[in-house]
Amino acid sequence: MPANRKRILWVLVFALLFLGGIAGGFFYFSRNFGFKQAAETVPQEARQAEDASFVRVYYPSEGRLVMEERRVKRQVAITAIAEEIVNEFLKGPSTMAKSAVPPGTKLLAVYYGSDGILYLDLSDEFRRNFQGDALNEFLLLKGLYDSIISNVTGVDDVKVIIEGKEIESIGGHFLALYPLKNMLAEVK
Amino acid sequence: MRKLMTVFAVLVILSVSGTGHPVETKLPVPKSGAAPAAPAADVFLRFSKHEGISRIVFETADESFIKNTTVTSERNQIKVLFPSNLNLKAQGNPDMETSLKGNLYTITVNSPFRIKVLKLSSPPRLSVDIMAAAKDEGRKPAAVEATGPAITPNIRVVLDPGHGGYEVGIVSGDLREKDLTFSLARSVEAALLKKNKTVFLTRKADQFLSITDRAIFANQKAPDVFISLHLSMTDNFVIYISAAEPASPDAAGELYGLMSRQRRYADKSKALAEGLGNVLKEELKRDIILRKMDLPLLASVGAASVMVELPVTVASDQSVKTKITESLLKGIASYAGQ
Repeated sequence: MPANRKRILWVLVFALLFLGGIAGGFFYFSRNFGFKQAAETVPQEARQAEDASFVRVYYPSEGRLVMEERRVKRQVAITAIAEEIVNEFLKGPSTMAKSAVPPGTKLLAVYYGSDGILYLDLSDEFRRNFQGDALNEFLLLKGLYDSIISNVTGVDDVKVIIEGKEIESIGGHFLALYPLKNMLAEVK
Repeated sequence: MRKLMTVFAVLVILSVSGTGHPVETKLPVPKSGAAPAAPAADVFLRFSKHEGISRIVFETADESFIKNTTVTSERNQIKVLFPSNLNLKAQGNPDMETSLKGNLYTITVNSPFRIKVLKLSSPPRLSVDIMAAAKDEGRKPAAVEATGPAITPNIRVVLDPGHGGYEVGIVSGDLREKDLTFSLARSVEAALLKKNKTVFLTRKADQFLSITDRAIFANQKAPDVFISLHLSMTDNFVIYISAAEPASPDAAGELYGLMSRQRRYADKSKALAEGLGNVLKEELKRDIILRKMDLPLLASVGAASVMVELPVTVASDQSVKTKITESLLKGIASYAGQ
C-alpha cells in the first residue's frame, strides 16, 4: 500500500471519530439539560400561573387596615419580592374610592442590610402628599410594614427613606429616623 | 559544665523571684488623714412672686442632690438643708431675709406663713412656695404640705401648635392644619397669660420645627402640662396619651433616655386627658376618643402630656374655636385642681 493512501485512510478515520464525538455530545446534552422542555409546547396560562404568586397587602382604610390578596410575579430574591409588594401597596386598594396611600409615590430602590433591615427608598411624594392625622400616619406605616413582614421571610424590620435620605417624619406625628417595628406597637 | 549549670540555675531563681512575688507598693497617704472634700455643687437660685405666693427655686444638675435635701420650718424661719456644700448662684432679689451657712440655707419670714415644697425633675429642682397663712393659722407652726411632685397653683404650660413651615398638615379647602393649630395655641396662650399663668409656645411663627426640637424645647421649660394641638380627619375629638406604662421602681435607669421620659408621668397624663375630655364633651357635645399611642413627642416630654386632635369639620368655626379655647382652659384648671 502506497504511503499516500495509508495517510488518507488515517485522516478519514480521525474525521469520522471527531464527527461521531460531536454527534454523541449533542444527544447527551440535549437529553440531560433541558432542550426537551424548549421543544415542548406549554400552554401560556399555565406558564403564567407558574411565574406568579399571591401576596397579602395591607391598606389603611377608615381607621383600620384591610388586607387584599394581590397576584405578583414570582421572585426569589428578598429585594425583588419586596419590590413587587411595595409597588402593589403604592397602587392603593382596589375596593376603596379614595386611597390613603400618598398619590404619586414611586419606589426608587430597595436595599437589604446585613442587619436584617429592609430599606425602602420612596419618592418625595410619599411625604409631600401625605394627608392625615396621627392614626392615618400610623396605619400608613403599619400597612407598609405588615405587607413586607407577612410576605418576605428573613426581614426583621423595615425602614423608610425618602429620595435616598433619612427624614425625621412622614406626616409630623411619627419618627421615620428609626426602623418601624418598635414604633408601631398596637394602639390601645 | 557544672559552672554553667549553676549560673543558669541562679538566673532562673532570680527571674522567678522577680515576677512571681507581689510587688509591694505603698500608696501615698493624704497628709491630713481625711478624704479629699467633694467639690461643691452649683445650685441656681430663682425668686419669683405671683398672686401672693413667693416662690424660691433651687435648681441643679444632680437629681440626688435635690432628693437628699430637706426642708423644715419653725416659727419665722424656713431651713433648707442640702446634703453638701454648694455654690449658690442667685437670680433676682428675694423680698425676705435669707442667708447661707455651709450647707444650710435659711429664709426668715416676718409674717405668719405656710409652705409648699416640691421636688421636681427635668431639670432637678426644689421649689418652695411661701404663702400667707390664714388668720387662725397664725400662731401655729407652718406645715410642710407635700414633698412629692404635685401641681402648683401657678402651673407652667407648654402649648405645641402641630406642623408648621413646609409641613402643612391636613388641608381642607382654604384651611391648613398648621395655621389653625397656631391660631388656637395663640388664643389659649393669651387666655392663660390673662390669668397670670406661665405659658410657652413651641413655635411662635409659621416655621418648621422637628419633633425632637419640640420635645427638647418642652423639657427645657420644665412644664407641668404639655398640650400638642392637631387636627383629626374624623368628626370627633381625639385625645392621645403616650402608650408608655408607668415606671417601675427598678427601671430607674431607663428613665434617662429622651424617649422614655413620659413613663413617670403616665398617670398624670391620663388624668389630664380625662379632664380635658370631660370638659370638651360637655362644652361641645361631641364624642371624645381617648387613645394610647406610641407618639414619640408625647413619649419624650417629662410632664403630663396629651395631644388633642380637633375635628377638621368644626375647627374653622370661630364660635367653636372660642369654645375649644375655653374648654382647654377649664381642662387645664381642672387638672391643676384649681
